[in-house]
Amino acid sequence: MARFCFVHAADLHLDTPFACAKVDSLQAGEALRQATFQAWDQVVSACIDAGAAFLLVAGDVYDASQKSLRAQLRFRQGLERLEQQAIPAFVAHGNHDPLDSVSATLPPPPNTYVFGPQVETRGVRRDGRLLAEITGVSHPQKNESRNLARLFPPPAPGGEALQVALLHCNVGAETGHEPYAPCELEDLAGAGYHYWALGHAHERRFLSRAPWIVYAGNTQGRSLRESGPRGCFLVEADGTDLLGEPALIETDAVRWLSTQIDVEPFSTTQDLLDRLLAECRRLQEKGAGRPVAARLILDGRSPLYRELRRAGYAAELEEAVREAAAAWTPFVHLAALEIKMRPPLDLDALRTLPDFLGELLRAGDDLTRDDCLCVWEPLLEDARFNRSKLRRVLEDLDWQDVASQAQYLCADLLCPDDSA
Amino acid sequence: MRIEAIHIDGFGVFHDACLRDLSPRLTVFHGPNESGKSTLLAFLRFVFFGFPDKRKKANRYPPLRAGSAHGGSVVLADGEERFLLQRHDRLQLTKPDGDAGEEADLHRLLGSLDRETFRNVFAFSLGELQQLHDAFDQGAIQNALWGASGAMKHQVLADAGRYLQENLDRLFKPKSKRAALNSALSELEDVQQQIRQAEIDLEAFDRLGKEVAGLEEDLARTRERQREIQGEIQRLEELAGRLENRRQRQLAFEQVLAKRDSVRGERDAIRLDPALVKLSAEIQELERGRHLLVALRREKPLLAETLETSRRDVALLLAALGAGWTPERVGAVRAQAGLRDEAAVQAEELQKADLEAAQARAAEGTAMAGRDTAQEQEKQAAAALEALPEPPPPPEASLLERVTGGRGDYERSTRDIRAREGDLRAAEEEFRRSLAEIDPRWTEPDLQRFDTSYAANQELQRFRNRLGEAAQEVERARNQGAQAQADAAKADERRRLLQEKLAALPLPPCDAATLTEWRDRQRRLALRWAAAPGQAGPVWAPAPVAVAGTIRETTYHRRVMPSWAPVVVAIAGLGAGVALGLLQPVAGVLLAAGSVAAAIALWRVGRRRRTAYSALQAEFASLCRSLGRERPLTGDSLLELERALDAAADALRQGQSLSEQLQQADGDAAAVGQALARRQAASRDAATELEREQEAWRRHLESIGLPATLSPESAVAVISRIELARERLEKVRALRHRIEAMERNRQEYLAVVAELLAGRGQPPVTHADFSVRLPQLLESLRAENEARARRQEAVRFYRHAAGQRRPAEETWLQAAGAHQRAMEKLQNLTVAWREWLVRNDLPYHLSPATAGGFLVAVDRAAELLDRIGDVEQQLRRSTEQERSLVGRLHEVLFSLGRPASADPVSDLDGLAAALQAAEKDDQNAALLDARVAEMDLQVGAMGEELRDADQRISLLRRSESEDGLEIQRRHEELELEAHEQQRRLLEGRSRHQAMATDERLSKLLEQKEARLETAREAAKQWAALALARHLFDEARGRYERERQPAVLKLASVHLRKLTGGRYREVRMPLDGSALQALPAGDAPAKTADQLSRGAAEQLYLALRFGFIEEFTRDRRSLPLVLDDILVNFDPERAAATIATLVELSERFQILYFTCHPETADRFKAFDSAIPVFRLRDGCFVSSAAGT
Repeated sequence: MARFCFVHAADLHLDTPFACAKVDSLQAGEALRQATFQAWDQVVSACIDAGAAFLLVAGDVYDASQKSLRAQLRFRQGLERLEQQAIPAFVAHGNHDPLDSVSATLPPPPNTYVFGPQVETRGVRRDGRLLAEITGVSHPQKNESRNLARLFPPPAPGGEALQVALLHCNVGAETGHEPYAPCELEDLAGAGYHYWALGHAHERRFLSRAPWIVYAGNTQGRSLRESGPRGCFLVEADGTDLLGEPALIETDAVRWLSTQIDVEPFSTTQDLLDRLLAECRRLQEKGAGRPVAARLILDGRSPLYRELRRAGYAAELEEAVREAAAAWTPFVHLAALEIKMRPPLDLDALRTLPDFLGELLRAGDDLTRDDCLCVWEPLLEDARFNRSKLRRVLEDLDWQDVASQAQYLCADLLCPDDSA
Repeated sequence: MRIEAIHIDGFGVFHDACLRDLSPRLTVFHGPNESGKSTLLAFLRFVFFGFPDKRKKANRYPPLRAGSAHGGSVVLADGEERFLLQRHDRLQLTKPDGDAGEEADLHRLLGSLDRETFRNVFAFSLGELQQLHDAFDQGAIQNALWGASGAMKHQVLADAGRYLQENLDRLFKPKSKRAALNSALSELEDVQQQIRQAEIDLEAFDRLGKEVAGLEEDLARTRERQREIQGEIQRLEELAGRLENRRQRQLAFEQVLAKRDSVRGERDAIRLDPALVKLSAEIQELERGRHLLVALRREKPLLAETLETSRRDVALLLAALGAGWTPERVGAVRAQAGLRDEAAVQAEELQKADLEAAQARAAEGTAMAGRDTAQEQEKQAAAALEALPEPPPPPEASLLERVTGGRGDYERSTRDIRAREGDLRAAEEEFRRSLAEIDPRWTEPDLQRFDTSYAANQELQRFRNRLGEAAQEVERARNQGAQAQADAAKADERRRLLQEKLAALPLPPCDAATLTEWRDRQRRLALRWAAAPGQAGPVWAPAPVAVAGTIRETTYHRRVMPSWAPVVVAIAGLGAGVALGLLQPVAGVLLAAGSVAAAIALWRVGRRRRTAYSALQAEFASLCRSLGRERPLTGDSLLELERALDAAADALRQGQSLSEQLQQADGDAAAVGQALARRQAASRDAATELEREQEAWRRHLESIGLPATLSPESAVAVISRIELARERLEKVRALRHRIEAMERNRQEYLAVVAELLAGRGQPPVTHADFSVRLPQLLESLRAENEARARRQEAVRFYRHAAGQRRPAEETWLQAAGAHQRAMEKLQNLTVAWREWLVRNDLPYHLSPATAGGFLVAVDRAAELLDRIGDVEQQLRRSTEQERSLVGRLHEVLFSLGRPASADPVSDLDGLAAALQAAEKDDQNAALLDARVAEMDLQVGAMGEELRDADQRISLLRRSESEDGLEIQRRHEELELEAHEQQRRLLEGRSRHQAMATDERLSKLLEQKEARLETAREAAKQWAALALARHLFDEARGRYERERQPAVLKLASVHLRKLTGGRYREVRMPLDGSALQALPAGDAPAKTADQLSRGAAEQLYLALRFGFIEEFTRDRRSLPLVLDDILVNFDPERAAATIATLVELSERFQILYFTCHPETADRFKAFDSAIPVFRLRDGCFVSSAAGT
C-alpha cells in the first residue's frame, strides 16, 4: 500500500468582486480585489508544501459571463507552479464556468486535465504504480439540469487504486444554491467511489463518511453570507483507505466576520462609536493576521434609535468607523453597519392600546408578504432600469423584519418622548 | 360647577361691584359698549387662571378708580359645597371646610382645564369665536379633540407624515436623478454598459496572441534565412581561402552585434513614453491638484442643489410678488428699512379706520334693518294676532311629559315582550329537555336539591378514581391469571411430550454400568476374534491388527483345522516313507517318522484351536443372549453386536437426558401451578374489592338521589346536564322576571295615558287600541300646543314690535351720520395709502394688510438673489477650477494619446502611476542607451575593420565578388527585415502583456457590486419607510372613517340644530387639513373658508359645544361665558342657537353678554324666566331694577 495525499478545492470564483459598498481605502480596495487570487495561490502552495499527489478543483473556477482575462491568466500561473513541481491537477467546470462560456485561448499546462462534457477517468501514477483514478465531468452549459452523478460508471472492483469522483453538483434540496446538476446522496453513496470531491455549496461539509462525500466550500468568502474561515481540504490516503477526516487548510486572504452589538447600554453616540471600534478590534484579532471585512449589527433597544434614524447620521457613523479601521494593520473594512436596533418602546403593550398607534401596529401585524410586495410595487413600476434586480432585492428581503422595522419606526415617530 | 356670586374689588371700570345668587342656568348681561362686558369676561378668566405677567403687554385691566384693590372674588358652587375664590396679587381659595386651597386644588376644581382651552372654548367673545380657526391651525384644539379620543397629537402626526415622505423622497422619487436609489440604479446601468464593452476584450487578446505567434514564426524564418545566407558567405569566404582572419573578426563583430541587439532588445522592451516624461512636471502639478479636484467634485452637486433650490425659491417668490417683479426691481426696492415701518403705521391707521367704518356701516345697516323690521313686524304682529283664535287650556305638564316620555319605553316593551316571550318559550323548552335528559321524573325542586358543589364533585371524582383503580386491578389480576394458566398448560404439554419421547426410546435391558461392561467384553471378543488365525480383523480394529489379520487370512485357512487332517498327514507320511524306504530306507524312515511327528503336532494345534474357538463362541453367545438376540459368531455378527451396543449406549444417554428434562419439567409445572393458584387468589381479591367499591358507589348514588345503575362517567355526564339545566332554569327565571317587569311598566303607562284621556273626557286606552289612540291623542295635543304657542308668540311679537319701532328709527338716523363720517376718513386714508404705494414703486393693488408680508417677501427675494449670486460665483469658481484641472488633465491625456474617461480622478491616478513607471523605465532606458551607444562605437570600429578587410578581399577576389556582393546585399536586407520583425514582436508582446494585466474589468465589476449593494441598502430602507407610510395612511384612514371622535359626533348634532339641518356633520381630517362641514345630501364638504361668516361661526360654535359636552362628560361642568356671539346669525339660526343655549343651560351655567337689547329680548321672549342684568358704568343692574 502506498501512502499519499491530495488536495480538494472548489468554487475559486477568481476575480469576482466582493459584495460590499463603499471601499474608499486604496489598501482595502486592492486587498479585496486580490483576495480570490491570493486564496488560489494559497491552494497551490498547500499542494506543494504537503507534497500532494494531485489537486482536484471541483468547478466554478470563474464567474462565467464575467470571466476576466486576468483571472484566466492567474489560474494558469497557479497550474504552472504545480507543473514545475510535477503535481497533476484535475479540473471539472461547474455552472458558473461551463465549457461553453467565453474564454481566452489559453491551453492548460500539461499537468492539468480539464474534464469534458462526458464522464471520463484518469489515473494518477507514482513510481509506475497507480495511486488513484479520478473520474469527473464538467458542466457543458450553464443551466445543467441532468443528474450527472448517475452518469458516473461504477469503478472496477478489487482495484488497489483510490477511486475519486470529481463533480460540481447540488446534492439534495437544501444546499441554499441553485439546483444545477441535481442529485441525491444515495446516487453518490451507492456509486462505489471512495471519495466524492464536490463543489457548488460554498459552505464546507461532509455529507457522508463512508464513502467520503465532501463539499470543500469556497476558498475565499465574497460576501457577508460567506463568513468565517474558508479554504480547501487536504486528504491523506493509504491505498484505498482514507486516513482520518480531511483537514482544512485555510486559504482566505480576507476574512468576512460578523458580530452583533447590543446597543442598550449606550446613551451617547461617542459611547456607541467607541464600542464599534472595540468590536472592530476584536474582529481584527479573530482574523488571525488577515484583513477582515466586517459586518456590525446594532441590535437592542436604545434611545439612540431616534438619532440613528436621522438622515445621514448612520452613514456618518459608519464612515467614521470605516475610516478609522481601514488604517489599522491588518485593516478592518467595515462592509456593513446593519441597524436592527429598536426604540425603547414596548410594542406589545402599545399594540393593545385602543388608540391610533395601537390601530397602526395591529394593521402591521396583519400584513402578509403579498401585502408588502403590493406596497413596494410602485418602486418597480417607476424603476426604468434594473427592474428585475430590484424586484429580486425586494423579494429577497425578510419582509417580516422590514414590517417589524416599519412598526418600530411608526411607534417611535408617534410616541412623544415622555411616553417612551 | 357654577358661579354663585361675583364680587369685583377693582378691575377696569368695575369698582366694588357685587352680584349674588346668580342663576344656575342661563343669565343674560346686557349693556352698551364700554359698559364692562369684555372686562367682566376678562375678570372671570383672570380669577380662574391668574393675572397675566406684569412684564407682558397684555391688558391686566387695572382699576380705573383709584384706591381699589386690583382683583376680586367669586363663589363657586359644586352641589352643596361652596368654594370662595379670591384673586388679587395671589390666589386665595377657601374650601367648603374652611381650609385654604392652592393653585393645584383650583386646577383640580376646574377639571384640569388650562387657560388656553378655557379661553378658546368656555369663555369667548365674538372675535375669539372667529379666531378659533387659528387655534385649529395651531393644532391645540385638534390635539384636544383627537387626543380625547385616543389619537395622537396633531403636530406629532403631521411631523411623522412629513418625516416619512421626506425620507421616502430622499431614497426614491420617480424621474429623479438625485434620490439615492435612482442614482444608484442609474450608475449601475452605466457600469453594466461598461462591463459589456470590457468583456469583448477576450477576443482581442486571442487575436493579439495569434499575431505575436505569427511574428515569432516570421522572425524565426528570417533568422533561418539569415543563417543560410551566412553559410553562403562563409562558404565564399572559405573558398576565397583568405577569410579566416576576417571570419574571426566577423564572429567577434557578430557577437558584439548580438550583444548590442540583446541590449537594444532590452532597451526596446522598455516602452518609453517620451511625451509622458516630458509632461512629468505637468502631471505632478495635476497630481497635487487631485485633492482639490476631489473636493470640487464633491462640493459641486451641493452647490448646484443649493443654487437650484434658491432659484426655485426666488422664482416662486417673484411669481408671488406679481408680474413685473424682476430681480432688478427687487434690488431697487429692498433695503428700505423704514418702508415696512411706514407701511405698518399706515396699515394700522387704515385698519383702524376700516374697522370704524365697518362698525359704523354695520351699525347703520343694523339700525336700518331694525327700523324696517320694527315697522313691518308691528304690522304683521297685529294681523297675526287677529287671525289666531284663543286655544283651550293646556294639560298638566308633568302628566304630558310622562305620556310622551314613556311612549318609547312602552313601545319598546311591547316589542320586547313578544321577543322575550319567544325567548322564554324556547328557554322553557330547553330547560324541560335538560330536565328530561337527567331523569323524566325530576322536577325543579329535585334540580335545586341536587348538590353540585365543588366538594360533591370532588367526592364523585374520588369514587370515580377508586372504581377505576379497582377495575384496573381486576383486569390486571385477570390478565396475570390467564397468563399463569397458559404457562401451566405449556408446562403440562412439555411433560407429556418428554414422556412420549422417553417411551419411544429403545432402551437396553441394563443400566449404564452393565452396558459399559458388555461393551468391554465385546471389545475383548473382537480382539480375540481378530487375533484368531484365519479371521479378518473387525472394522474398528487398529490398522496393524487389521493388516496382520489380512496377512493371516492370506496365509492360513479361514476355518478351524479339520480333525482328520493329522491322520491324513500321518498316513500320507507313512505311505511316502514306506515308498521312499524302498528306495532309501533311512530317508523313508525319517520321512515316516517326520510325518508322524507332524501329524501329532497338527493334532495338538487343532485341539488348541478348537478349544479357543469354543470359548469364544460361548462368550459371544452369552453376550448375544444378554442383548436378547441369537447370532452365530462371525466377523459381521461381531460388528453388528458392536453397533447394537453403540445404539444401546445412545439410547441410554438420550433416555437419561430425557429423564432429566422430564424431571425439570415436573418442577416447572409445580412452580407454575403454585403461581396460578396465587394469581387466581389475587384475581378473586381484586374482584371482591371491585364489588365493595361498586357497592359503596351505588350507596353514594342513592344518597345523592341518582339511579344506582349509573357509571361514574354517566354520573359526571348527569351532573353536567344538571348544571346545564340549572343555567337554563336561571335563564327562564330571568326572562319571566323581565317579562313581568315590562308588563308592569306597560300597565302603569296605560294608567297614565288613561288619566290624560279622562281629563279630556275620553275612555281609557288598552293594549289593543294603544297604537291607534295614542298618536291621535298626541297629535291633538301637539296641535293645541302649536296654536297656543302661535297665539302667545303673536301677542309677544306684537308688543315687542310696537315698543321697538320708534327707538329703531332714532337709532338709524344717528348711525347713518356716524357711517358717513367714518367713510370720509377711510377714503382720505386710502388715497394717502395709494400715493405712498406709488411713491415707493410698490404695486397699486397692495392692501395695508398684505403690504407687510409683501415687503418681507421682497426682502426675502433680495436675500435669495444675493445668495444665488454668491453660490453662482462659488459654482463658477469651482467649475472654472475643475474645468481648468480637467482641461489640463485632458490636454495631458491628449498629448499622451490616452483616452479620457468619465472619472478624471481615476485618470489622474492612472497617469500618476504611469508616470512613476515611465520614470523608472526612463532611467533604465538611459542606462541601456548608454550601453548601446558604447556598443555602437565598438560595432562601428569593428565594421570599419571588416570593411577594410572586405575591401582587401574584394580587391583580391574581384572575379568572384559579384555573388558575394549580392549575398551581402541580401544579408543586409534580411538583417533589416529581422530587426523590423523583432520590433513588432516586442510591441505585440508588450500589448499582450498589458491586456493580460488589465484590471479595468475587475474594477468595473467591483463598482457594479458596490452600486448594487448601495441600491440594495437604499431599497431596504425605502421598503421599511414605504411600509411605515402605508401603515400610517391605512390607520389614519380607518381612524377617520370608523373612530370619529365623540367631540365631532356631538358637534355634528349641534351643527344640525344650529343650521336647521342644512349641515349634517363636522369633520376633522387627521392629516391636519382644515375643519370641514358636510352639507345635507350629497354635496361635498366645505371648509370654514368656504362658508359664510355666520355659518363658519356656527360651525365653530357647534364644535365648541361638542367639545364642552365631551370634556365635561367625566368631569365637573364649568360655566360658559359668551360675549355677543349671535351678531352674525340670521334670526332663524339665532333662535335655534338660543334654544340650544337654553337646553345646554340645564347642564352648564351660561353667562351671556350682549350689547344688543333685542338679543336680550330674544332670550326673554324665548323664556321670560331667564334673568337679564344690565351693565351700567361697572355696576350690575337687574332688569327688575335691583343691583
